[in-house]
Amino acid sequence: MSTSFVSHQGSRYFWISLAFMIISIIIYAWHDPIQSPNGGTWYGYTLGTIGAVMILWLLYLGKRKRNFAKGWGTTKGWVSAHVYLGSSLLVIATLHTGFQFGWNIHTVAYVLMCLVIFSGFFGVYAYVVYPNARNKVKKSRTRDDIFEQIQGVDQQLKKMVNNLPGEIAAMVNSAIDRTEFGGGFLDQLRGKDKSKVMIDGVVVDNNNQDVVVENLVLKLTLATGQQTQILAGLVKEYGVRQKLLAVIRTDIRLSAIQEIWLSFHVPISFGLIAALAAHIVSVFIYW
Amino acid sequence: MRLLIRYTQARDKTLHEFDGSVVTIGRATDQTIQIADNSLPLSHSKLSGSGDELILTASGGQSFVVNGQIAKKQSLVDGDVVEISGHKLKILAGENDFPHVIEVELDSDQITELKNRFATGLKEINAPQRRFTWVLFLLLLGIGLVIPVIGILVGIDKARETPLVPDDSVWLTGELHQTHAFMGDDCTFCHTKPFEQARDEDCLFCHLSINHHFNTEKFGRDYKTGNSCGDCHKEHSVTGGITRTDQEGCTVCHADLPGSGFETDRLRPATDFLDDHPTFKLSMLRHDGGNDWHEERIDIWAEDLIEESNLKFPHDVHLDKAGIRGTEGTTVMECSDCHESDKGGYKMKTVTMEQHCADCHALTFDPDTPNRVVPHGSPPDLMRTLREYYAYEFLNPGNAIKASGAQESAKLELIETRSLRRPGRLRDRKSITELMLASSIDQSASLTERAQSYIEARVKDAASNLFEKQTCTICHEVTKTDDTNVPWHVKPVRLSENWMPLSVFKHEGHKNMQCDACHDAEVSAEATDVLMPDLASCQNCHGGEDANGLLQSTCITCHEFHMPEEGPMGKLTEIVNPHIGMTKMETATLNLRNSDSGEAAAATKQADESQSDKSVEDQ
Repeated sequence: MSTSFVSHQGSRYFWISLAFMIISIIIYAWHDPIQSPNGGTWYGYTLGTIGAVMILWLLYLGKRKRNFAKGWGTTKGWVSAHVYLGSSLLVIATLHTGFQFGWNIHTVAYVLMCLVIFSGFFGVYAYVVYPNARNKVKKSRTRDDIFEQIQGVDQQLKKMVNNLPGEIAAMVNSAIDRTEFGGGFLDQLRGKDKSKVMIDGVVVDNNNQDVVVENLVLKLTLATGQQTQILAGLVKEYGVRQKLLAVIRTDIRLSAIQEIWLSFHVPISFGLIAALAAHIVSVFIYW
Repeated sequence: MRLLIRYTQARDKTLHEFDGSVVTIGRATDQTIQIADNSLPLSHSKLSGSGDELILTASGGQSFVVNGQIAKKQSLVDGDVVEISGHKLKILAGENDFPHVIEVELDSDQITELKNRFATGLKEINAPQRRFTWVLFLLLLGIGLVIPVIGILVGIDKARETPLVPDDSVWLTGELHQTHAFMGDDCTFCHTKPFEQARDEDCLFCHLSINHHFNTEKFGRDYKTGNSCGDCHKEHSVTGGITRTDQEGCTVCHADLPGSGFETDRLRPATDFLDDHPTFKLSMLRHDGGNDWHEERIDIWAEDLIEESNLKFPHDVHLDKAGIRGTEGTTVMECSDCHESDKGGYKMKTVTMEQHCADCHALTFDPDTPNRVVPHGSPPDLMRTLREYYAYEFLNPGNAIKASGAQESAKLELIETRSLRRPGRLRDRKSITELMLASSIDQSASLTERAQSYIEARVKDAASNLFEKQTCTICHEVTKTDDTNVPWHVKPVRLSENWMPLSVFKHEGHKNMQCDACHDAEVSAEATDVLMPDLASCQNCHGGEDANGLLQSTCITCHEFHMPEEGPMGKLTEIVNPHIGMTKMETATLNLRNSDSGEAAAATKQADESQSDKSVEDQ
């Protein structure tokens, strides 16, 4: 079984981070500043410096992952370290604050850091859970495989409708042409089927391709003779198409959720950098 | 508008019968004529018209080609060929009751494959992520850093006039102490130099008069610790208080004072109140004779520890639980009848004869006038009073009582007098005439001589009674002297007021305790007894910094750092620069006043102006 970044090299970075956090907490409990603990004691400055350097290093992952094979270490190792050492920042930075918070840029930096870390936690969850879920839905096929299957079904459908009255052919053809999936930000996240179909010259919604299927079934009940057979085949085939499209949309939806946290994680990280810069500079301007 | 739409690619040449007002053409699936070509907009153009007429209108910014001519809006007739990005729409003559047929011939090379028609991943769409990143980054950098820094460079006050500039409170690292909170929106109040920690000068601008702990001439200003305000005082951390309270700050030197260069027999080493604190020494007054006293530091356990107040006072008698007989019957006295704490509770008010003793110990001298008293404190005054009284009595025989006032005589009737003889007195008082006749006064002498003889006899009688037998000697040490005017000497009395001047003790903070928990007054029979509690007595409740089960008390719980007898904390030359110092102080006061009323600030300003006018005149 291959290991993920979670258990990379026997969870090496998990243990490093855990040790790091425990040591920090022990020193915090042991160090007895003259007044209450805060960022300005020797230990406060130490933790602050470590935290700031760690934040910059963690940001570097954004660049490092773009050169997958190049550079020192493996990308998997980097992600593993990123996740575990990033998590330990929660402890390091909280101890750095000495549990003193207020309505100021310093606390803003802290809150942003927490948001980045928590969104990262969701990212870890997403990367552990969603790829599996997507694979299950797709039954280990790729998205391209499924599209190819849909294409095959579509050709089959077009061939089948040739022998049917024009209005049925027009409906099925237009349903094929007017099929939708994915799309915008919210469309991907919601996975709603916005497909359309033209029936009797009017474009109508074809959510989950149900309208077409219903219409075909209706025609089937009224059909006689050879048409019955063709229509039955058509309904069956369109059912296959319906299922394949549902798989595509579910996959798009899951993959969007899997990625969405990055749209939060990255911008907040840059906000954090700005707040961190303001925090450090202001603290030393008015030392 | 009715139309027939025919797709040529479809094997069945699919026909759609359209009956509506507008035919929409575009990439979107809801268009009447859908062209699944990703190079086209969702909605490209609209075909409208009534009856025979057909008008094609392109959406904003779009255009189409009609018979080779580019157009944005065009009226179409049969035979026209419209091209949209290679896809052809032919307008043909009508069929089956439809006025026109539109034949759609899609360029199959340009039709986008189904799987590529829509974005299927977040990365493919132009997510607002990048914009969001920049907005957040620039916003925080602007509010948090750039604008305040520009404010500092341009002059913060000027910059703050614009609503864009956030004040310094966005940079406040922690709440300020209540007394400093008013400067919270302007860091430069204390942090006068960028990238430098707040300096003593910045504190001393306001705290001008604060005194040092040790002699700076001897130890300099860089001595171990306690040289700088910041050594003990930290702001922006209200949870931790503004003043350090730990023992270490003190024990750095006080663990070994000689080793720290401070040779003294006044102070002994101390590191912890419970584990390592010297026994108490008391500042005792020693009588040098006359009215001169000096202070001596004596260990509380020393055998010769007696108070030399020259007073006679048994605490036990006064605090007798059965009570003590006074003018108004038996009274049970309490400590607080005589000992009251001063305002603030640091000291006890001085016990005085007039306030605390005279109610019972009345300085009466004549049973006939029990309300007439002699003054306390000055024997010559006492003698003068007696002489005046008896002179008056000589001149107004029998009227003395009357003379002392009708009120007093009225009061007298209420007092039950016993016809007992007082020691040294006759049981039955004779009248003055009788007395004069009975005495050895020469009746033939002149009136003046007779008066003198009478007055002297009576004064001597009363005074010896007062000084030697009944009154003064009860509390005072009285000796006979050869003085003709006042033939007695009363030893001067002085009570200790500050037994432990090196510590600060508040009775106020201990008011829930019983007095006898610390002061063993009930069993003290002599005024020479010292009733001050010793170290062990305090240690019943107080422990050191890390004490268990006791009040954790550190050095500054009882001792002060800023010593009144030492010089000021600041380097005087720099701090008491009247110009800088006053300007800064005035700014502070002005700011405070501004928040209350503009009038006060205006008044100050006016005062300043009148002062500057004055200085001009002086020149």
